[in-house]
Amino acid sequence: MTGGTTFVSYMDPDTLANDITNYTLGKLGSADADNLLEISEIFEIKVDVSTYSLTNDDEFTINITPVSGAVLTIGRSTLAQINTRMSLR
Amino acid sequence: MRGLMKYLAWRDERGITDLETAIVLIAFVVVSSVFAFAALSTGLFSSDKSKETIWAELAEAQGTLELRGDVKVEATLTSKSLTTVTAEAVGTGNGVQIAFTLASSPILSKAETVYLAGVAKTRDTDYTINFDADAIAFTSAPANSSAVTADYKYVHDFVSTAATTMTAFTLNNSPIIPGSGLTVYSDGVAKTLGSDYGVNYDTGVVTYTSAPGNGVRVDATYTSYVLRR
Repeated sequence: MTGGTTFVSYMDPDTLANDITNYTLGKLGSADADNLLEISEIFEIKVDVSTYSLTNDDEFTINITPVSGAVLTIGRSTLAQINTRMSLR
Repeated sequence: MRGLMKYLAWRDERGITDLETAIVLIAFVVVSSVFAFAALSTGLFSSDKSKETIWAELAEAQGTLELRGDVKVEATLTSKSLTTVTAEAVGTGNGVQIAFTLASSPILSKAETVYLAGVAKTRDTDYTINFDADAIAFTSAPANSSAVTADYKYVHDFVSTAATTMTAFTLNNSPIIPGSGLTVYSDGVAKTLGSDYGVNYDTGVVTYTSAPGNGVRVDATYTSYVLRR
């Protein structure tokens, strides 16, 4: 069985970061200790965007590409007012 | 006459025989079944091919990841605000020492009062103050065991000292949250947003409507942020 890694890329109108290495993986719920995302496991991916100068009302896209299958595209825009913790639907 | 009538009455029943009919019928059936087979197998073949194509595409397009919940962002807020300090015990005179340092910095320019033994002293007459270093230097050394106290305000962002025609100043942090207590001071006097100056929240540039003048110190209070994740 061949292995491979899922890689994360970030894009906004000013920057394109193709392979982000500074993301952290958190395992939630009943996930076991390995890095393989199995059925009914939930991983939390935290991407550090502090170097990308995001301000309010900015659009950004995060692409998560697995080894096989479709790319998961998450496109959001930041809120009009910045608080410490925000939820972007 | 009778012979003729017999001849006329004889009906002709010659026609297609049973065998010929059967042969034509069989030929007709065979040809039509061949046509039917050709049409059917072409249809089956093409539908099979399209089924194969669809399955092959599904393997590529099938999403294995799914986003659960919403996307959250954290921001780090840096707040530069104004704190007022009253009656801070700066030090005690000993008849020799003339230099004293205030505890907090940077100080809001020209908004401080220094007291020697409870009596307010005048800036530039009784003492000089270096706002960048928060150092007070008395012109003459305070008397022995006289208390030096100070009231002042300190702000966390000293912007710059204005040159003669300078109107644009850049705050040390940006972007800034609008309405987060942004106040700009010239020489310790608060200025009014809109009439005295304008601000670009994204770049942190404060533009005065008229130049503050040479040597005027510009300070500011505000809150800026950095989006972390």
